[in-house]
Amino acid sequence: MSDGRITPELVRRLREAYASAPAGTASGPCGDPEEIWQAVQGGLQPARMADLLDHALACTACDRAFVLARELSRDPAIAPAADTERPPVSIRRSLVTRRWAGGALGVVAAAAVAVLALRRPPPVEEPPFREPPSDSIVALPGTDHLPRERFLLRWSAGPPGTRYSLWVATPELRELYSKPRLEVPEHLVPSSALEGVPPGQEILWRVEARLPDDRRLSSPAFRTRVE
Amino acid sequence: MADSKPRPDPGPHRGPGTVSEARAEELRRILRAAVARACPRDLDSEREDLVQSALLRIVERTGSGEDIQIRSTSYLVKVAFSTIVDVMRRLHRRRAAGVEEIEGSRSVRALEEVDSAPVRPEIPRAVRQCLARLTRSRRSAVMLYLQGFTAREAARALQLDQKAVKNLVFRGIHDLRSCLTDKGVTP
Repeated sequence: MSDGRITPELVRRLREAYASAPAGTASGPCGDPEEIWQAVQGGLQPARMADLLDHALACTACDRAFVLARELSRDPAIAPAADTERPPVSIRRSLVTRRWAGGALGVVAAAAVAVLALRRPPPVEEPPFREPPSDSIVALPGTDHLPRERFLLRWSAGPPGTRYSLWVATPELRELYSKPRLEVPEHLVPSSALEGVPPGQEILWRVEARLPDDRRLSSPAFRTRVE
Repeated sequence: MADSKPRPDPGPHRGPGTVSEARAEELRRILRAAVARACPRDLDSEREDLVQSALLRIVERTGSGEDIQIRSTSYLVKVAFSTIVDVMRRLHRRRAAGVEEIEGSRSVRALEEVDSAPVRPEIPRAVRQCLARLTRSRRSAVMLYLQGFTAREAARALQLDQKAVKNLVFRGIHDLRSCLTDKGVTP
Protein backbone atom coordinates (compact mmCIF):
# COMPACT_ATOMS: atom_id res chain seq x y z
CA MET A 1 0.00 0.00 0.00
CA SER A 2 3.02 2.23 0.12
CA ASP A 3 3.54 2.66 -3.61
CA GLY A 4 0.74 5.18 -3.93
CA ARG A 5 -1.42 3.06 -6.19
CA ILE A 6 -4.96 2.07 -5.59
CA THR A 7 -4.85 -1.58 -6.46
CA PRO A 8 -7.75 -4.02 -6.64
CA GLU A 9 -6.20 -5.83 -3.71
CA LEU A 10 -6.22 -2.67 -1.61
CA VAL A 11 -9.83 -2.03 -2.56
CA ARG A 12 -10.74 -5.61 -1.70
CA ARG A 13 -9.16 -5.27 1.72
CA LEU A 14 -10.80 -1.92 2.37
CA ARG A 15 -14.17 -3.30 1.42
CA GLU A 16 -13.57 -6.30 3.62
CA ALA A 17 -12.66 -4.08 6.54
CA TYR A 18 -15.57 -1.77 5.89
CA ALA A 19 -18.06 -4.63 5.83
CA SER A 20 -16.58 -6.18 8.95
CA ALA A 21 -17.57 -3.38 11.28
CA PRO A 22 -19.14 -4.68 14.46
CA ALA A 23 -22.82 -4.04 15.03
CA GLY A 24 -23.34 -0.43 15.96
CA THR A 25 -26.12 2.08 16.19
CA ALA A 26 -25.92 5.82 15.68
CA SER A 27 -27.22 8.18 18.28
CA GLY A 28 -29.88 9.67 16.00
CA PRO A 29 -32.94 8.05 14.53
CA CYS A 30 -32.60 5.96 11.39
CA GLY A 31 -34.02 7.23 8.12
CA ASP A 32 -37.18 5.73 6.74
CA PRO A 33 -36.40 2.68 4.56
CA GLU A 34 -38.37 4.38 1.83
CA GLU A 35 -35.88 7.23 1.91
CA ILE A 36 -32.94 4.89 1.56
CA TRP A 37 -34.64 3.18 -1.35
CA GLN A 38 -35.24 6.54 -2.99
CA ALA A 39 -31.70 7.63 -2.26
CA VAL A 40 -30.25 4.66 -4.09
CA GLN A 41 -32.52 5.41 -7.05
CA GLY A 42 -31.27 9.01 -7.07
CA GLY A 43 -34.56 10.43 -5.88
CA LEU A 44 -33.37 12.21 -2.77
CA GLN A 45 -31.89 15.65 -2.27
CA PRO A 46 -28.08 15.36 -2.16
CA ALA A 47 -27.90 16.96 1.30
CA ARG A 48 -30.36 14.45 2.68
CA MET A 49 -28.49 11.65 0.99
CA ALA A 50 -25.30 12.81 2.73
CA ASP A 51 -27.17 12.89 6.05
CA LEU A 52 -28.28 9.30 5.57
CA LEU A 53 -24.76 8.19 4.71
CA ASP A 54 -23.26 9.98 7.69
CA HIS A 55 -25.74 8.19 9.87
CA ALA A 56 -24.93 4.90 8.17
CA LEU A 57 -21.27 5.32 9.00
CA ALA A 58 -22.12 4.57 12.61
CA CYS A 59 -25.26 2.49 12.08
CA THR A 60 -24.56 -0.94 10.69
CA ALA A 61 -28.18 -1.70 9.84
CA CYS A 62 -28.58 1.47 7.78
CA ASP A 63 -25.26 0.86 6.10
CA ARG A 64 -26.39 -2.60 5.09
CA ALA A 65 -29.74 -1.14 4.02
CA PHE A 66 -27.92 0.81 1.32
CA VAL A 67 -26.24 -2.36 0.14
CA LEU A 68 -29.51 -4.24 0.18
CA ALA A 69 -31.30 -1.52 -1.79
CA ARG A 70 -28.55 -1.59 -4.36
CA GLU A 71 -28.55 -5.35 -4.64
CA LEU A 72 -32.31 -5.49 -5.03
CA SER A 73 -32.25 -2.72 -7.60
CA ARG A 74 -29.70 -4.62 -9.65
CA ASP A 75 -31.60 -7.86 -9.98
CA PRO A 76 -32.43 -8.41 -13.64
CA ALA A 77 -36.00 -9.27 -12.69
CA ILE A 78 -36.37 -5.78 -11.31
CA ALA A 79 -33.99 -3.77 -13.43
CA PRO A 80 -33.73 -5.43 -16.83
CA ALA A 81 -30.95 -3.08 -17.89
CA ALA A 82 -28.53 -4.40 -15.33
CA ASP A 83 -25.58 -2.24 -14.65
CA THR A 84 -22.54 -4.21 -15.61
CA GLU A 85 -20.11 -1.38 -15.32
CA ARG A 86 -16.83 -2.11 -13.64
CA PRO A 87 -16.03 -0.47 -10.34
CA PRO A 88 -14.45 2.94 -10.66
CA VAL A 89 -11.20 1.92 -9.11
CA SER A 90 -10.31 -0.27 -12.03
CA ILE A 91 -10.73 2.71 -14.24
CA ARG A 92 -8.91 4.78 -11.73
CA ARG A 93 -5.90 2.57 -11.75
CA SER A 94 -4.83 3.66 -15.17
CA LEU A 95 -5.62 7.22 -14.27
CA VAL A 96 -3.54 6.94 -11.14
CA THR A 97 -0.65 5.54 -13.10
CA ARG A 98 -0.89 8.28 -15.68
CA ARG A 99 -1.03 10.98 -13.12
CA TRP A 100 1.81 9.73 -11.03
CA ALA A 101 3.89 8.80 -14.02
CA GLY A 102 3.26 12.23 -15.47
CA GLY A 103 4.73 13.77 -12.39
CA ALA A 104 1.65 15.80 -11.64
CA LEU A 105 3.10 16.96 -8.39
CA GLY A 106 0.60 19.79 -8.17
CA VAL A 107 -2.22 17.30 -7.84
CA VAL A 108 -0.48 15.65 -4.93
CA ALA A 109 0.15 18.97 -3.25
CA ALA A 110 -3.43 20.05 -3.82
CA ALA A 111 -4.67 16.77 -2.38
CA ALA A 112 -2.50 17.19 0.67
CA VAL A 113 -3.71 20.75 1.16
CA ALA A 114 -7.26 19.60 0.67
CA VAL A 115 -6.89 16.93 3.30
CA LEU A 116 -5.68 19.50 5.80
CA ALA A 117 -7.88 22.39 4.79
CA LEU A 118 -11.09 20.54 4.17
CA ARG A 119 -10.94 18.20 7.11
CA ARG A 120 -14.03 19.28 8.88
CA PRO A 121 -15.50 18.41 12.21
CA PRO A 122 -18.02 15.59 11.95
CA PRO A 123 -20.98 16.82 9.99
CA VAL A 124 -24.01 16.24 12.10
CA GLU A 125 -24.29 15.97 15.79
CA GLU A 126 -27.41 13.94 16.35
CA PRO A 127 -29.53 14.57 19.41
CA PRO A 128 -28.99 12.03 22.17
CA PHE A 129 -32.16 10.27 21.32
CA ARG A 130 -32.63 6.59 20.93
CA GLU A 131 -35.75 4.67 20.16
CA PRO A 132 -36.82 2.64 23.13
CA PRO A 133 -35.68 -0.96 23.00
CA SER A 134 -39.18 -2.15 23.78
CA ASP A 135 -40.36 -1.42 20.26
CA SER A 136 -40.59 -4.99 19.17
CA ILE A 137 -43.34 -7.54 19.30
CA VAL A 138 -42.47 -11.02 20.47
CA ALA A 139 -44.49 -14.21 20.51
CA LEU A 140 -45.29 -15.31 24.01
CA PRO A 141 -44.06 -18.66 25.29
CA GLY A 142 -46.40 -21.51 24.59
CA THR A 143 -47.01 -20.66 20.97
CA ASP A 144 -44.38 -23.01 19.55
CA HIS A 145 -47.03 -25.63 18.85
CA LEU A 146 -50.76 -25.43 19.30
CA PRO A 147 -53.77 -27.69 18.81
CA ARG A 148 -55.77 -26.66 15.77
CA GLU A 149 -58.97 -26.72 17.83
CA ARG A 150 -57.55 -24.07 20.11
CA PHE A 151 -55.02 -22.22 18.05
CA LEU A 152 -54.54 -19.28 20.37
CA LEU A 153 -51.74 -16.99 19.19
CA ARG A 154 -50.41 -14.62 21.83
CA TRP A 155 -47.86 -11.86 21.61
CA SER A 156 -46.40 -9.07 23.75
CA ALA A 157 -48.75 -6.19 24.43
CA GLY A 158 -48.25 -2.57 23.46
CA PRO A 159 -49.47 0.41 25.47
CA PRO A 160 -53.19 0.65 26.23
CA GLY A 161 -55.13 1.58 23.15
CA THR A 162 -52.89 -0.36 20.79
CA ARG A 163 -54.64 -2.15 17.92
CA TYR A 164 -53.19 -5.24 16.30
CA SER A 165 -53.48 -6.88 12.92
CA LEU A 166 -52.70 -10.56 12.62
CA TRP A 167 -51.70 -12.51 9.51
CA VAL A 168 -51.27 -16.25 9.23
CA ALA A 169 -49.79 -18.04 6.21
CA THR A 170 -48.34 -21.36 5.14
CA PRO A 171 -44.56 -21.68 4.72
CA GLU A 172 -45.29 -21.39 0.98
CA LEU A 173 -46.78 -18.00 1.80
CA ARG A 174 -50.39 -18.82 1.00
CA GLU A 175 -52.48 -16.70 3.30
CA LEU A 176 -54.61 -18.76 5.62
CA TYR A 177 -56.16 -16.15 7.79
CA SER A 178 -56.05 -12.51 8.73
CA LYS A 179 -57.70 -10.37 11.34
CA PRO A 180 -57.33 -6.58 11.66
CA ARG A 181 -58.09 -4.20 14.51
CA LEU A 182 -57.69 -6.60 17.38
CA GLU A 183 -57.85 -4.89 20.74
CA VAL A 184 -56.06 -7.56 22.73
CA PRO A 185 -52.65 -9.14 22.10
CA GLU A 186 -54.00 -12.60 21.39
CA HIS A 187 -56.38 -14.22 18.97
CA LEU A 188 -57.97 -17.59 18.55
CA VAL A 189 -57.54 -18.64 14.94
CA PRO A 190 -60.62 -20.62 13.86
CA SER A 191 -59.88 -24.23 13.09
CA SER A 192 -61.62 -23.81 9.73
CA ALA A 193 -58.74 -21.57 8.67
CA LEU A 194 -56.32 -24.41 9.32
CA GLU A 195 -58.28 -27.07 7.45
CA GLY A 196 -55.68 -27.56 4.76
CA VAL A 197 -52.73 -27.69 7.12
CA PRO A 198 -51.57 -31.24 7.84
CA PRO A 199 -50.78 -32.18 11.45
CA GLY A 200 -47.22 -31.36 12.39
CA GLN A 201 -46.77 -28.65 9.78
CA GLU A 202 -45.57 -25.21 10.75
CA ILE A 203 -47.42 -22.06 9.86
CA LEU A 204 -46.04 -18.53 9.85
CA TRP A 205 -47.68 -15.60 11.52
CA ARG A 206 -46.91 -12.04 12.26
CA VAL A 207 -48.49 -9.04 13.93
CA GLU A 208 -48.57 -5.38 13.12
CA ALA A 209 -49.40 -3.03 15.98
CA ARG A 210 -50.72 0.49 15.63
CA LEU A 211 -49.84 2.39 18.76
CA PRO A 212 -52.01 5.12 20.28
CA ASP A 213 -49.62 7.73 18.89
CA ASP A 214 -50.24 6.25 15.43
CA ARG A 215 -46.82 4.64 15.11
CA ARG A 216 -46.73 1.20 13.60
CA LEU A 217 -44.64 -1.70 14.83
CA SER A 218 -44.19 -4.91 12.93
CA SER A 219 -43.22 -8.22 14.36
CA PRO A 220 -40.90 -10.65 12.66
CA ALA A 221 -42.46 -13.83 11.31
CA PHE A 222 -43.18 -16.38 14.02
CA ARG A 223 -43.52 -20.09 13.50
CA THR A 224 -46.08 -22.29 15.19
CA ARG A 225 -46.59 -26.00 14.61
CA VAL A 226 -50.15 -27.17 14.13
CA GLU A 227 -50.91 -30.27 16.17
CA MET B 1 -61.06 -6.80 6.62
CA ALA B 2 -63.12 -9.77 7.59
CA ASP B 3 -61.88 -13.16 8.60
CA SER B 4 -60.53 -14.95 5.60
CA LYS B 5 -60.99 -18.54 4.63
CA PRO B 6 -58.34 -20.75 3.11
CA ARG B 7 -57.67 -19.68 -0.42
CA PRO B 8 -56.52 -21.81 -3.30
CA ASP B 9 -53.47 -20.62 -5.15
CA PRO B 10 -54.77 -19.14 -8.41
CA GLY B 11 -51.49 -19.58 -10.24
CA PRO B 12 -49.12 -17.01 -11.55
CA HIS B 13 -50.34 -13.44 -12.00
CA ARG B 14 -54.01 -14.24 -11.58
CA GLY B 15 -56.45 -12.52 -9.30
CA PRO B 16 -55.77 -10.24 -6.38
CA GLY B 17 -55.46 -11.45 -2.84
CA THR B 18 -52.67 -13.95 -2.96
CA VAL B 19 -49.18 -14.57 -4.24
CA SER B 20 -48.74 -17.46 -6.59
CA GLU B 21 -46.16 -20.05 -5.69
CA ALA B 22 -44.20 -19.22 -8.81
CA ARG B 23 -44.09 -15.58 -7.92
CA ALA B 24 -43.27 -16.31 -4.31
CA GLU B 25 -40.42 -18.47 -5.52
CA GLU B 26 -39.13 -15.72 -7.79
CA LEU B 27 -39.27 -13.24 -4.95
CA ARG B 28 -37.61 -15.69 -2.62
CA ARG B 29 -34.77 -16.08 -5.10
CA ILE B 30 -34.33 -12.34 -5.48
CA LEU B 31 -34.47 -11.69 -1.77
CA ARG B 32 -32.16 -14.54 -0.82
CA ALA B 33 -29.53 -13.38 -3.26
CA ALA B 34 -29.74 -9.77 -2.12
CA VAL B 35 -29.83 -10.60 1.57
CA ALA B 36 -26.86 -12.93 1.15
CA ARG B 37 -24.83 -10.02 -0.18
CA ALA B 38 -26.17 -7.31 2.10
CA CYS B 39 -26.75 -9.04 5.41
CA PRO B 40 -24.35 -8.00 8.15
CA ARG B 41 -22.13 -10.89 9.13
CA ASP B 42 -23.34 -10.99 12.66
CA LEU B 43 -26.83 -11.60 11.30
CA ASP B 44 -25.84 -14.39 8.96
CA SER B 45 -27.82 -16.89 10.94
CA GLU B 46 -30.93 -14.73 10.51
CA ARG B 47 -30.84 -14.57 6.73
CA GLU B 48 -33.65 -16.99 6.08
CA ASP B 49 -35.83 -15.38 8.73
CA LEU B 50 -35.26 -12.00 7.11
CA VAL B 51 -36.42 -13.39 3.79
CA GLN B 52 -39.42 -15.12 5.33
CA SER B 53 -40.51 -12.00 7.18
CA ALA B 54 -40.35 -10.02 3.98
CA LEU B 55 -42.33 -12.58 2.02
CA LEU B 56 -44.93 -12.76 4.71
CA ARG B 57 -45.33 -9.01 4.60
CA ILE B 58 -45.97 -9.29 0.89
CA VAL B 59 -48.64 -11.89 1.50
CA GLU B 60 -50.29 -9.50 3.92
CA ARG B 61 -50.29 -6.72 1.38
CA THR B 62 -51.80 -8.88 -1.30
CA GLY B 63 -54.31 -10.25 1.17
CA SER B 64 -55.39 -6.78 2.17
CA GLY B 65 -56.60 -6.01 -1.32
CA GLU B 66 -53.76 -3.95 -2.72
CA ASP B 67 -54.31 -4.64 -6.32
CA ILE B 68 -53.01 -3.55 -9.68
CA GLN B 69 -49.66 -2.02 -8.84
CA ILE B 70 -48.80 -4.81 -6.44
CA ARG B 71 -48.47 -6.97 -9.55
CA SER B 72 -45.14 -5.35 -10.30
CA THR B 73 -42.17 -7.24 -8.98
CA SER B 74 -40.34 -4.02 -8.21
CA TYR B 75 -43.16 -2.94 -5.94
CA LEU B 76 -43.11 -6.24 -4.08
CA VAL B 77 -39.37 -6.03 -3.72
CA LYS B 78 -39.68 -2.56 -2.26
CA VAL B 79 -42.13 -3.86 0.31
CA ALA B 80 -39.70 -6.66 1.11
CA PHE B 81 -36.85 -4.19 1.39
CA SER B 82 -38.67 -2.13 4.03
CA THR B 83 -39.45 -5.23 6.03
CA ILE B 84 -35.91 -6.55 5.95
CA VAL B 85 -34.51 -3.18 6.96
CA ASP B 86 -36.95 -2.97 9.87
CA VAL B 87 -35.96 -6.43 11.09
CA MET B 88 -32.24 -5.77 10.64
CA ARG B 89 -32.53 -2.60 12.66
CA ARG B 90 -34.42 -4.32 15.43
CA LEU B 91 -31.88 -7.12 15.65
CA HIS B 92 -29.01 -4.68 15.58
CA ARG B 93 -30.49 -2.52 18.29
CA ARG B 94 -30.67 -5.53 20.52
CA ARG B 95 -27.15 -6.65 19.79
CA ALA B 96 -25.67 -3.18 19.89
CA ALA B 97 -27.30 -2.55 23.26
CA GLY B 98 -25.07 -5.24 24.69
CA VAL B 99 -21.99 -3.79 23.04
CA GLU B 100 -22.78 -0.26 24.18
CA GLU B 101 -22.72 -1.26 27.81
CA ILE B 102 -19.02 -1.49 27.25
CA GLU B 103 -18.34 0.98 24.51
CA GLY B 104 -20.92 3.70 24.89
CA SER B 105 -22.97 4.96 21.95
CA ARG B 106 -21.32 5.23 18.58
CA SER B 107 -21.68 8.08 16.18
CA VAL B 108 -19.54 9.92 13.73
CA ARG B 109 -18.56 12.20 16.57
CA ALA B 110 -17.85 9.32 18.89
CA LEU B 111 -15.64 7.80 16.24
CA GLU B 112 -13.66 11.00 16.04
CA GLU B 113 -13.27 11.11 19.78
CA VAL B 114 -12.06 7.55 19.89
CA ASP B 115 -9.45 8.64 17.41
CA SER B 116 -7.70 10.70 20.03
CA ALA B 117 -7.26 7.65 22.21
CA PRO B 118 -4.31 5.31 21.67
CA VAL B 119 -4.68 3.63 18.30
CA ARG B 120 -5.85 0.07 18.43
CA PRO B 121 -5.03 -2.29 15.58
CA GLU B 122 -8.63 -2.92 14.76
CA ILE B 123 -8.88 -2.35 11.07
CA PRO B 124 -12.63 -2.09 10.59
CA ARG B 125 -12.88 0.53 13.27
CA ALA B 126 -9.89 2.43 11.93
CA VAL B 127 -11.46 2.50 8.49
CA ARG B 128 -14.64 4.00 9.89
CA GLN B 129 -12.71 6.50 11.96
CA CYS B 130 -10.79 7.62 8.92
CA LEU B 131 -13.94 7.83 6.84
CA ALA B 132 -15.37 10.16 9.46
CA ARG B 133 -12.41 12.47 8.82
CA LEU B 134 -12.97 12.78 5.09
CA THR B 135 -14.77 15.73 3.61
CA ARG B 136 -18.43 15.02 3.34
CA SER B 137 -18.58 14.68 -0.42
CA ARG B 138 -15.61 12.30 -0.48
CA ARG B 139 -16.97 10.34 2.42
CA SER B 140 -20.31 9.84 0.66
CA ALA B 141 -18.66 8.71 -2.54
CA VAL B 142 -16.17 6.41 -0.81
CA MET B 143 -18.84 4.85 1.38
CA LEU B 144 -20.94 3.98 -1.63
CA TYR B 145 -17.87 2.63 -3.35
CA LEU B 146 -16.92 0.45 -0.40
CA GLN B 147 -20.50 -0.74 -0.24
CA GLY B 148 -20.07 -2.01 -3.78
CA PHE B 149 -21.78 0.66 -5.83
CA THR B 150 -20.43 1.14 -9.31
CA ALA B 151 -19.56 4.65 -10.44
CA ARG B 152 -22.78 4.80 -12.42
CA GLU B 153 -24.86 3.73 -9.45
CA ALA B 154 -23.08 6.12 -7.12
CA ALA B 155 -23.47 8.93 -9.61
CA ARG B 156 -27.19 8.33 -9.78
CA ALA B 157 -27.52 8.21 -6.00
CA LEU B 158 -25.40 11.30 -5.43
CA GLN B 159 -26.83 13.12 -8.44
CA LEU B 160 -23.41 13.82 -9.82
CA ASP B 161 -21.82 12.87 -13.09
CA GLN B 162 -19.66 9.78 -13.14
CA LYS B 163 -16.50 11.72 -13.65
CA ALA B 164 -17.08 13.71 -10.48
CA VAL B 165 -17.85 10.54 -8.56
CA LYS B 166 -14.71 8.82 -9.75
CA ASN B 167 -12.70 11.84 -8.77
CA LEU B 168 -14.23 11.91 -5.30
CA VAL B 169 -13.63 8.19 -4.87
CA PHE B 170 -10.04 8.44 -5.99
CA ARG B 171 -9.23 11.32 -3.71
CA GLY B 172 -11.24 9.88 -0.89
CA ILE B 173 -9.48 6.52 -1.06
CA HIS B 174 -6.17 8.36 -1.15
CA ASP B 175 -7.12 10.31 1.99
CA LEU B 176 -8.38 7.17 3.63
CA ARG B 177 -5.15 5.38 2.99
CA SER B 178 -3.11 8.29 4.30
CA CYS B 179 -5.17 8.37 7.45
CA LEU B 180 -4.76 4.63 7.96
CA THR B 181 -1.05 4.92 7.38
CA ASP B 182 -0.85 7.65 10.00
CA LYS B 183 -2.53 5.27 12.40
CA GLY B 184 -0.08 2.53 11.52
CA VAL B 185 -2.85 0.44 10.05
CA THR B 186 -2.42 -1.56 6.89
CA PRO B 187 -5.71 -2.85 5.54
